[in-house]
Amino acid sequence: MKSKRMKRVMCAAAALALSLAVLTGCGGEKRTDESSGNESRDTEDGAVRTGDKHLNVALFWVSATLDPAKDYDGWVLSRIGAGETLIRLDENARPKPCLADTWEQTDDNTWVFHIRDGVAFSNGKAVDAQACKSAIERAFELNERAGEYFLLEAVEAEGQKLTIKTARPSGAVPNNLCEPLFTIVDTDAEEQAMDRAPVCTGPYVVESFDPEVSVKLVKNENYWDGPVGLDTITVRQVADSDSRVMAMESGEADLTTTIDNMNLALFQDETRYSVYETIGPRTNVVYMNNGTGFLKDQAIRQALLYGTDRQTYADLIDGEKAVGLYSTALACGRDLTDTYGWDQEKAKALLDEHGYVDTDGDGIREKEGQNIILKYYLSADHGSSDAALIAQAVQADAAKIGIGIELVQAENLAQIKSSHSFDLCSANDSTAPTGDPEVFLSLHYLTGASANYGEYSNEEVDRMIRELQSVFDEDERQSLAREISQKILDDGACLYISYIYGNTVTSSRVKHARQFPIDYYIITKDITIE
Amino acid sequence: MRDKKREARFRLCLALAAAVFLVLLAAFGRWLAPYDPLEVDYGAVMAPPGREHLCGTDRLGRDIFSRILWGAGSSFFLTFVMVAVTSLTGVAVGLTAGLLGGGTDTVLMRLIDVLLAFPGSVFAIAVAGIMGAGIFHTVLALALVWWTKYARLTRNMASEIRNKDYIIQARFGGAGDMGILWRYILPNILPQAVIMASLDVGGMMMSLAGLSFLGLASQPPAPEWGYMLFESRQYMQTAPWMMIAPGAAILITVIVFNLLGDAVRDVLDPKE
Repeated sequence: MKSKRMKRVMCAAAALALSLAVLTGCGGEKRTDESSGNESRDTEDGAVRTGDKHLNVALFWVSATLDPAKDYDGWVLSRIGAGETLIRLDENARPKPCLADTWEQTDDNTWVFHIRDGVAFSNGKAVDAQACKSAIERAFELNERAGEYFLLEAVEAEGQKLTIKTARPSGAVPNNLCEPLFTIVDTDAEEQAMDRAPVCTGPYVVESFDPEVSVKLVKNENYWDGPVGLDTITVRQVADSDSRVMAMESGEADLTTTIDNMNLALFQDETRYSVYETIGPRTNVVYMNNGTGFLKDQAIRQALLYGTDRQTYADLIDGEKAVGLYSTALACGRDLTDTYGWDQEKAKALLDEHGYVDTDGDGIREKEGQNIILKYYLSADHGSSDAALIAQAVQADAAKIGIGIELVQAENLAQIKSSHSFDLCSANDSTAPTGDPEVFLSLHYLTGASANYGEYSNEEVDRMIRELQSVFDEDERQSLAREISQKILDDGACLYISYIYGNTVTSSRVKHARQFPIDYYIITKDITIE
Repeated sequence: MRDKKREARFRLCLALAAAVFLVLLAAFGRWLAPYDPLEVDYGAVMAPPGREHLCGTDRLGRDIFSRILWGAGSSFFLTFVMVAVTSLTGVAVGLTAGLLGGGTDTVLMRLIDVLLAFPGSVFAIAVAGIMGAGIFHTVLALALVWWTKYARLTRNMASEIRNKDYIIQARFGGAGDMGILWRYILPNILPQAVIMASLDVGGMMMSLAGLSFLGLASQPPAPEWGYMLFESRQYMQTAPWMMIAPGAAILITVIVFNLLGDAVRDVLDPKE
């Protein structure tokens, strides 16, 4: 009888422990198994020889294919150091020569690039303008996103001279060509090989590829830009941030990125780890519905802006306080005036002034007898808890100025956003994936644009965004974008919360790693291991 | 024999005492809580357990002990209501099917077979996906699946008892349908149902916590144990107390109610 009871207790405890384990760490444990399986395979087929410089990378995402023209798969190809573009973005997110060594604009719609002499694909074939032309045309053919960056009229190839003609004037061509979608890939290879082992020009060459699991790379013997730091690399997908932390701690991975900021504290020991951090172009933002509901009234939006302590939220999630829509990684994100600094008294006064007062004493102000309660949607995002923290902090602060907020976690956030059926809605936007501000503005803030979730509309801003399209000087583009950003901020369109740090953690044996503001650069030719 | 029975009773008393203590704690917890469970305090973010905060604080500086006490109230209430509603529904349906037999029985039992094909939590996730997350939808989905096992148990026992000699005797003796139901069938079935229900409390609590953990039941900032676990998941290494407290709360509660269920069975089960 007694043993039976013990058994029951043990069972209950075991079941609970098991289900907790399943709930908390499912990703992690499975991956460990997989990776140890791979490890043994490594030695069996002799891919890792002793004396070789081998790097293990835990990446948050390995795509289903490696074809740069499909979805965002080119980003993965770029991250692992296999794919390169005509131009790349430096540590200030400004374009610098890569496969093209010079470029110039000859008229409003024409850009001429000179392809660097002596560059070859990893299979030995020379890279000329014709090869670049087919790669770029292929990207436009296969991926709709290409058309968002600029409208292609024609590409002409002549020796090493590549001419790109656009249908409309576009000052963002050099920046936008840095998008890994425009990776220069050998299009003579078979389409099937394109998915699994595209032939590119990067310092590393894909040796084998297991979709959504791992990629193995070897040094590109034909690399054009000097010596390559490593012999082989194994990149594994470890989707869960905590599992990546554990992979680093156990030594299973030598390099990982994008771990939760709070967990960086675990890697403080400089003798064992190196941590690199820099502000990227991502912004944590809470969209406000400017078109319908309570927030249509600018006064309530302004009150929320005054009433939310964004500096504290940013500290809480280890980001940098946001002022406008662009982060300080970009020139257009710097030197903005914070029109709505943290001032709850001002928020209350503003609401009082507009007649939003609490008459029934429940702590929530009313509009025409109806309590002001806003629906705040956030995704039930299992990757990061930042959105939930921001939401609860905003809710607590809004309550203090008499505005109620109801939080709703939604699985179909994208649908809610595009149908504008929210009052508040959290997002984490990459505002300038190519360092240029134009695309994001036209998609998110132009009246009626496809991703204008908050139904923001301002004729002057519309005019300025159109003007931006035909400004060609890079500095002028940045300063015009800054002006637009300031206007949107002054209108109280959104709650910008924080700019997000990107991070890379390596074991201390790994040298010359760095964190770029643009997150499709991770593995470079410089990275080496001691 | 008598010793065994006495021991079983003793254990039932112990388990019952522990359960009652927990229920009282849940019912009056909110008055015992030292802090407001929703009060954000940026000055005390992730404070470790200590004199000021018995179980430490979370990412927003909220007192975890207070959140657990408040969370207990809603967890217990929901669990008890769910178990009561599902078991009563299940027993009623099972009795109807078992006693009427024939077409009614077939229809009801096939319906149950269909519902049983959905794993409870998966069904709840699907419902939350279609109708939107939220405690009401999730609870509704769980309840839709949960009652079936009571119905099956009751129906099988009822149809077995229905043809027993003593029932036929009673019928000859002039007892009506309702009389037979009340005097002979229910007393046979109830202990089993009670045992099942008390063993179910722990399971139900785990299911609700699990769904909240996935963000499908309780919505932030409500203090709910499962959601607290989810929030603390990323800080397992940097702030383990955020996870230990709600985890321990769930562990203790489920163990106590499982022991109670066990003890109830040992005392009530006519087979032993």
